[in-house]
Amino acid sequence: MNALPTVLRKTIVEQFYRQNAGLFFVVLMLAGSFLRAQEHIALAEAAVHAPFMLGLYQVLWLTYTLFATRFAVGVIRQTEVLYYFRLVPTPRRWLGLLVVQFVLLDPILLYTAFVGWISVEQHTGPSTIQLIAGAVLMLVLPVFWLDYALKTPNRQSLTANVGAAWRERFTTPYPLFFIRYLLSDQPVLFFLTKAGSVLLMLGILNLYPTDDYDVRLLALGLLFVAVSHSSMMYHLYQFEHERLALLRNLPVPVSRRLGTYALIIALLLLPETILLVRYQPDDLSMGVIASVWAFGHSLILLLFTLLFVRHRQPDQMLPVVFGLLLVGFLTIMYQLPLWALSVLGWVMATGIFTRYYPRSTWETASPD
Amino acid sequence: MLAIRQFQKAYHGRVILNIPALDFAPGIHWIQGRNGSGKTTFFKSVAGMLPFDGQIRLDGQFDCNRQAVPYRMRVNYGEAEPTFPAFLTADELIQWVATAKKAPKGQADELIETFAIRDFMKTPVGTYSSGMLKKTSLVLAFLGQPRLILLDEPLITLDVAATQTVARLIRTLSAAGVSFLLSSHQDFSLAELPIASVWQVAGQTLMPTV
Repeated sequence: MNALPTVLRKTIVEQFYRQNAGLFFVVLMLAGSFLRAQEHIALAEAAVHAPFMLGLYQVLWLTYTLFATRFAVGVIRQTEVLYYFRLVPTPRRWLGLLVVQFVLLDPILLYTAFVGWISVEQHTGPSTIQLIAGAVLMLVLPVFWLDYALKTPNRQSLTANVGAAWRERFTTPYPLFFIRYLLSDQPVLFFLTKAGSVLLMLGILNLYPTDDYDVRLLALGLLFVAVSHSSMMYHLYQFEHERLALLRNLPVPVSRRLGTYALIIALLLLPETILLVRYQPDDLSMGVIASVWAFGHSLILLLFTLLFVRHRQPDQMLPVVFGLLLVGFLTIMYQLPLWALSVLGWVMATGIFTRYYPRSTWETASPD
Repeated sequence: MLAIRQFQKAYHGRVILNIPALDFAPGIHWIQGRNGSGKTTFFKSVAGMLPFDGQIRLDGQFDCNRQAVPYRMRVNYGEAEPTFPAFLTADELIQWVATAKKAPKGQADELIETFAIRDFMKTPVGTYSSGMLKKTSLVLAFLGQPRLILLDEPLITLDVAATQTVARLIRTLSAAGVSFLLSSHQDFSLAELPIASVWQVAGQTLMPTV
């Protein structure tokens, strides 16, 4: 049964890394720029001597494990052909799923190996055991979940009754379709992105009063918030292509289509908006705070509209995201007015969308 | 009714369809073709869902690209294999499309009754059978006041009663002046319709069959 590893690799592993390339890019960028190699080593040395701190590392890795495994389960539930693998003898099926899990967890297993190496060097036996046990559990336990998903197609959701009552009373308007998609199909991506973004904003807003910072610090925060939403924007682009193809047949002017996307982004930025208002620094007026928000919003909208210029895979978007980060960083450092940058971002997004949206297409399509 | 000029559709530089000039008179037209011949590509292009080179004009005045909104108000499309967000209900989809297409009051309800889908209106489409999904898609295709309805394989996965419902609706609307482009590998029910012309998608173009 040679098809098993090939099909699992192509349907789960490759798709996982492709679809989350933006997220990996942001994590790598943050881990590689905010923290230098010496700091990674220093933190790891501290962690192997403090079980609680090591536990925090493992909670982070567990979150990633849930994210990756949920993605794999989602693929299994949506790809009916994978249910044929139930027919493969259990040991082979388990081995195949274990290999999938191993490759999905490579980033955290590598980091675990790094911390484990520090632990061995520091002669902290219990920490080494804690690390090995954690890695083995994160590798093996999700295989039960994957195998369960393979064995239970069309599973009845535990929240089905609640959902039914909700659907009887409320109708989802179109601007909320994507947010519902994130909550139902991509909850880990949604909560990881929003948690990271909110934590970053909280950190920056708390850091602001401690020194002689100016509005550029907040603008930098929104720049990173915008970049961290790149994966989500790709999902919006993909969701509308795959699930709402009919949207292009609807008689909606391009301007209103763009307006709706701007509204969706504003809704996604609601937690950051609340934080900006709640923790508004004393020396910054509400107008300045609004310009910071507008800067972040215009960057995300621009990032989204750039997807329509030419169809790209998520990993091919990385240079675009990196370019936007670089340009955004330079404009902030040169103290260009945020309102002017925001208007420029919106104008560029409008120009790009108006020109490219009607001609855009998901180019991987084949004729029928 | 529909004029096509210098139409070309290519994927990755490979030409799939090339139609120098083609006119569809008002009425029901049947588009045939082997799997992969480009029927769906043609339908999606006419529906304004795929970009293309050339010109597609409805009733001599609504250009697919230049008058994008009024054109789409008058051209509806029913997918061969509809895919919708699994968490949405038929009710939510119908309300969304009915609002966009400015469907007359009561039309959605009437279509819901006609296709007998009221029982699962509030259930997520992810739980639907292929037939239920197809009926929902057909309701969406008939919403509004279209001048042209494109139905890509409208009969697949439907039960006998629903097949007859589709044929009856097509006949009624056609008598009221609505034109249809239909693609189907099945001819048993379509044969009962007043088909104005039959076309074959082959050799990257559309040709009338003898």
